[in-house]
Amino acid sequence: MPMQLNRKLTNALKGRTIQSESGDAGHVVLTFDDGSTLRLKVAGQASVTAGAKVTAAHESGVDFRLDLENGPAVQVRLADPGSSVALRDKSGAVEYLG
Amino acid sequence: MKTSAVRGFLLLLTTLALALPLRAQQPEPILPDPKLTPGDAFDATVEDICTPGYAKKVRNVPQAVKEQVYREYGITAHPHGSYEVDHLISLELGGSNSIKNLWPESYRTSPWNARVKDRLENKLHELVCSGRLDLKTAQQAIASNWIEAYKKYVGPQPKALGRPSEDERAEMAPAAATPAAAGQVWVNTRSGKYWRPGSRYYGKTKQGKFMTEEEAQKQGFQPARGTGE
Repeated sequence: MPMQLNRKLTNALKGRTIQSESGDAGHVVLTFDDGSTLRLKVAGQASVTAGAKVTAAHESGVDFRLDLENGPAVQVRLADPGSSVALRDKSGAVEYLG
Repeated sequence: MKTSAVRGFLLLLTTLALALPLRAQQPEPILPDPKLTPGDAFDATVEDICTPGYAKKVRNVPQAVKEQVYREYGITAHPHGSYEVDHLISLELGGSNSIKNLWPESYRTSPWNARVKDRLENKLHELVCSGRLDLKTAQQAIASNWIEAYKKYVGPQPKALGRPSEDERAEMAPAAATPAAAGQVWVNTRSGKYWRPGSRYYGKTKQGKFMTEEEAQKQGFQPARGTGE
């Protein structure tokens, strides 16, 4: 079954470019060119291509994927669907939680 | 023609006779099952949740998850207006969209039902945002037993089925009872949008207050539909 488009997150992230990736056990943190950060609570690892522009975010259950304009998609398994994705702007204000 | 009308009537009666027991058998929990719904919260701060429009940014429960909630609670029929899939720790209090924080809450039970819990959520949000209650305390109170939390923070048992009393209505929207001064806008504190005098929702949304347009903009509220009209 194809993953569902996460419209709210896609609207927030579309056009932003991943500048760097960091994280620790259980977390992936993507920093974008506008200073915003996407923090994901994950089960497992993620491979992220810096310099790629986000075109869409998809989510179904534990599966989460960011489609990128250049390069392979970022695909992770979320630790807890509905409570694992946090997007904050450069000042730390909430843009999306889910 | 006459026969088909009688047949149709009998078919209708049979359908109703079958449907009513089905509805009557549906579970109507007034408290969630702590094993299925212990409650779950985002890593949100008081500043986050008290920012106008916060809940709109985080409300995201796919239909498939709602259906899963109904299944887990053994609810096979949920006609429109009978239940809501409720966030046990409300979004306004930092609750998450995890299935651990969702349960089917009935509108039909009395006196405790989804509308009554909304009043508690509003009250706790107000207490947290005014600095009179710690966010974690509010989250724990509503997650452990929302009815007891209602009695503690709102008042004794609600009087009417589904409809708030005069006192409770005032509690829900204290500012709405206050007439607007000339030129003030109506701020829907839930959506983060404001309406100008004469517009459709001016003074009419469930949560909101009057203030000057300048004050609304200073607090980060935006005109509804781009113009506030």
